[in-house]
Parts: sequence; structure tokens; C-alpha cells
Amino acid sequence: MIGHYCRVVWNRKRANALILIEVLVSFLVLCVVFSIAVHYAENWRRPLGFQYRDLWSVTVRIPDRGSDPLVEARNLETSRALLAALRGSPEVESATPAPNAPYSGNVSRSGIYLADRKLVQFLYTPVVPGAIEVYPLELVAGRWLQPGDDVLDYTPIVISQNLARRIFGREDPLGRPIEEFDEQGQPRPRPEAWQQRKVVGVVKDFRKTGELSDTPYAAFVPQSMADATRSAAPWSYLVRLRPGTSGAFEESLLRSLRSVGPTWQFEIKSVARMRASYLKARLLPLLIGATIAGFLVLMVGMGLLGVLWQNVSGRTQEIGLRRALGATREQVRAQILGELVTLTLLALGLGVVLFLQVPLLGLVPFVEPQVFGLAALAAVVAILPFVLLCGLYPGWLATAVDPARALQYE
Amino acid sequence: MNETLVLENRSAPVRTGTAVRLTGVAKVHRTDRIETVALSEVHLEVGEGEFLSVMGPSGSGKSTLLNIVGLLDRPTEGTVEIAGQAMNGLSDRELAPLRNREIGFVFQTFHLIQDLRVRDNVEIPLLYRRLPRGERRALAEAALERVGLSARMGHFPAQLSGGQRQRVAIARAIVGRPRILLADEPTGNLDSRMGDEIIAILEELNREAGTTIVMVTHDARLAERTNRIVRLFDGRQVQ
Repeated sequence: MIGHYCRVVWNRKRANALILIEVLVSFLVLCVVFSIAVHYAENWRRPLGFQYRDLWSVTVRIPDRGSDPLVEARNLETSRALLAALRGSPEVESATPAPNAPYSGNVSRSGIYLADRKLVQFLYTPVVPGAIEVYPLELVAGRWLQPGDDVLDYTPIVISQNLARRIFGREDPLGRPIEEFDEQGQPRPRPEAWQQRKVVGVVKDFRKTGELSDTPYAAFVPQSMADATRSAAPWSYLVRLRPGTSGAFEESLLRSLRSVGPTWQFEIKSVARMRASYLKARLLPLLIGATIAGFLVLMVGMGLLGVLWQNVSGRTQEIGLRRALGATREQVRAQILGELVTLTLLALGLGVVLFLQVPLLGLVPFVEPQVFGLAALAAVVAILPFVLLCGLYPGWLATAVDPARALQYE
Repeated sequence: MNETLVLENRSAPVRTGTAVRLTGVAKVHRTDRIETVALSEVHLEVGEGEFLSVMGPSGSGKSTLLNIVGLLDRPTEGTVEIAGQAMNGLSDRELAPLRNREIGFVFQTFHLIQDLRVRDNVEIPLLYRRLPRGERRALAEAALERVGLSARMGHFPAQLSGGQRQRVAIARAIVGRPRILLADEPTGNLDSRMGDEIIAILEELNREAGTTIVMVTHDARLAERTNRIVRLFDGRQVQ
């Protein structure tokens, strides 16, 4: 019987082309929608690598920032006092200078060319040794930054696991310098010896950009609080509060900071609140997109239903004939659905081959290839029962007509 | 059986039993507003191996009668027996295999599936018997050979003449070796020469295979070649 279905489908290729295209379009639309959904779901599932609760961001506006080394040295001295004041509060567990708080929407990136002439960009975060407790970060190899790292004749660097994999592959990154190249693949050493970066530790992936984003490469380097020629005065700090600290502490912290830097301006924000705003801003367009995609899928579904209906209605006489020749209603319905499944599998096979070109050709490099595989699988699982459902009613209607009347149907 | 039926052709084969028996059959088509009597008080007995023709003007109920005998339609009143088995009260699931095994249909408009090759068209009744593909193919080829179309098995219906199409339809009707063949104006769409060819095939089937044939026709000349003629007028059996 399967051979008969295939023969009928093949011999009616022109009439079936419309159904095939409709199923193919539905499949591709679903694949795109599911890819986006799977991509975001996968991102959401991954650990952030830090804790946003009881974490505050303190942004500093330094009025007389400039190229004058004396001014910079004075600013750095005030910054040291500021960090001491932050750490001195009993409500504060730990604090660190850190550019761009998580969920701030801003990131500092550094980019290097590797020997394969590919540009690798990573989050570049100058911090003090206490930063590991502030986020907190999980060290998986080597050591974290320690006092005195900011005066070494090289720059110790702690990198995230994904960056270690990207640069060193399966090799041990500890103690290895990060060699830089130019766009032509020629070595390009740093102008100063102390600027040469050497990996001292590896931390778990650090997703400062939030749950919905991809996992960025990340690196931590020492923030010098003493030498203005190595580091400028930090303009942002992260403060880890003791659990249960109330929001009222913000006023007292602000007073304390103003007493250290009377001409500086401070803004304190809860990272949890920043996260809520970030999610709201990111989820709204996603929700709108999902609604539009839902309507699109619905429209495609309606179109499919219409095409199937028309196709089955056009076969009323044939259905009458088959019943006259001994087919039961169930056998005729099974035939309609069997042909539909054959056609759908053909369209889905074609769709899978087409859709999997996206990861194979690397057309969307920031999405992991398995996301496309999962999305294609989900689309197949969704579309098959949908198509069967669309075929059931027209099939039922067609067999509801008496064979004698169906044979006279024009 | 209604004894007033006339046997106009004395060359009928010897009857060994009753293939079809209709007793007091009536068919009324009802809608919200009108009621149309298609058949009324029809009593008919067709012996096994008989070649019977049904005549009458358009709208006299010939096709309705054929649909009832062919188990495509149910009578409003009366009983239908096929090979001694009562059909009243049987479900669609029970009637379908009976149609498949006991009855073959030949229609005026052939009703061939245009997208299937000749051989695939002839195989259709066998699909519902769950026969192996090889056996289906062999039976279909034998049926086509019998109607003289072995050379056209791989053609599509559109590539055949009207007479050839009707021969394909006959091959499809006999492929399952049914006891009864019902032909609804099988020559209606053919010229007289092709019509004669078709009737010759039906006669041969009746004579050699002993197939019972009930044929609806407008053509008195063809009807005269059958064993017996039943005439209908306004849904009533008049002869």
C-alpha cells in the first residue's frame, strides 16, 4: 500500500507541488521560530558565572579627568580611599573596581588577532584581587589575581574557560603568553614588556551580558590602584553586600562616598534592579516577535488546511470510486493521510537539507550548530501532527458522502 | 421473484442459484421540502450466470436500482440479498469487503484515475484485499490480457481511446473475479463499433466465466443481446 501511496504522490506531482511548498514554507518558518526559541532557552539555561543578588553598582563621575599625570595620580589616590571606604562599611562584604556592571548594557572589549588571522574579542575587566569574592567567580585552574600582580614585568591575566579553549584548544593555558598577530598573521608583540599577557588562571564562563545573551569570552587583568601610568582611576565599582542589607543603606553609602570625593558624582544601582530593566527591555521585542511568528505560523497553517481541503475535495469522485471498489471509509481516510504523510516527509526531508545549510555554511556564527538541529527536530515533531490534523477533517468530510453520490460529483 | 419478468433471450446459461434478489425495494430521496420516489415496489431476482439488462427512460430509477444492487446505496424499504445473504442492516465496514469480492462495476464515464497507469488502475480493487504486490500485478496483467490491452499496461488513461478506457474499466471490474458485474450504460460514451466490442467482451465474460451481469442501457439493440430485459418507468418495474 505504501508503494501505491508513493506512486499516487509521484504521479500527481504537479497537483501536490502546492502542498509540498506549503509544508516546506511552514517547516522553514517553524525552524526559524524554534531556532530563536531554542537559542534563547539554551542561553537562559546556562549558568551566569556570577550572582546578581546583593550586588550594587557604583558609578563615579570624575570631573577633572585628563592627561595631566599629577591629576591622574591624585584621582587614583582618591579611588584608593573610595575603595577603602566601600570595604570599610559593615554592610559590605567586598568591593572591586570593575568597568561596566553586569546588565548595564555597556561592555569593554579587547580584540586580538590570533595566528589563524581570526579576530577574537573578549570582555576586558581590570579588577583588584578581591573581585573574585565580589562577583563571585569560580576558579577552575591556576590562581586568581593577587596583590603585587599590578607591578610585575608582565600582565597576569585570568581568562574564562571558553576563551582558553578558543586560544589554546585542548592545551594547558596556564603560564602561556597570549600571543598576538596582525591581520596578515605576523606576530605583533606589545610595545612594553609589562603589557605582555600571561595566563595565570582560568575561571568558569562569565556571562556579564545577561541570561539572554550568548556566552562572551572574558578576561580579568589587574587594576593598578597605585601606578597611574598603568591604570587610570576606575569609574565604576561593584559592591557585594551582606545578605539582608536593606535599600536604606544606599543613602548612608552615598554620604560616605561623598565625604571621600566631595567633587565627584556617584550613582548607586542595585544590579538586581538593573537585571529586571534589562530583561524587560529584551523580552518585550522577543514577545512581539514571538506573537508575530505565532500569527505567521497560524496563517501558514490556515493556508495548509485550505490547500489540503481543496486537494481532498477535488478527489471526491475518486474517493467514491475507491469505496465502490471495496475500500472502507477507514481505508480511504488512511489513504488520504498516508499520501499526506508521504508528501509531508518529502517536504520535510527537503526542508531539513535546506535548513541545515545555515549551520553548515556558518551563516549565523553566533548561534551554536546544535541549536539548528534541535529546532529542525522540533519543527518536524510539530508539523507532522499538525499536517495530519489538517488532513483529518477534509478526509472525514470526503468519506462522509455516499459512494453513489460521490461518483456523480463534478 | 416477480414472474412477470420476461426472458427475451432464450440462450441464457443454466442457472444454479440466485445471485441477486430484491424484494419490495423502494428508494425515496427526502429533502426538507420535497420527497422524490426513485424506486417503488421492485421485485427482482437475477440468477447466477444470467446476463440481464435494465432499460427505461432517464430518471426512471435504473442507476438507483444498480446502486442498490451494487451496495452503494441502501433501499428505503425492502430487502436486498446477494448470493443468498441479506444485506439489510450490514454496516459500511461489512458491506465494503462484499463489494470488493462479490461485485464489479463498469461505469458509463469509465471512472479511471487519470494519474495512475492502466495497470495501477486495474490493481485498485486488489489493494483492499492485502494481496502481495507480485500477485496483484499478475492478476491485473491477466485481466488486461483478457480484455486485449496487454500492450497498454504502462499507459495513462488519457493516452487511450474511449473504447480502450472502457476495456480498462472492465479489466478493473473483473480483476477480483467477482460473482456479479454491474454495468451502468457501459457503451453510453462510445460509438456503435466500440460499443459492440464492449458488449462482446461482456458476453464472453458471461459465457465463459459464468459472471452474472446486470447492465443498464438505453440501447435496445444491445439489450436484445442479453438474456432478459427489465424495464423501469418512474421508479416502477413495468416489465
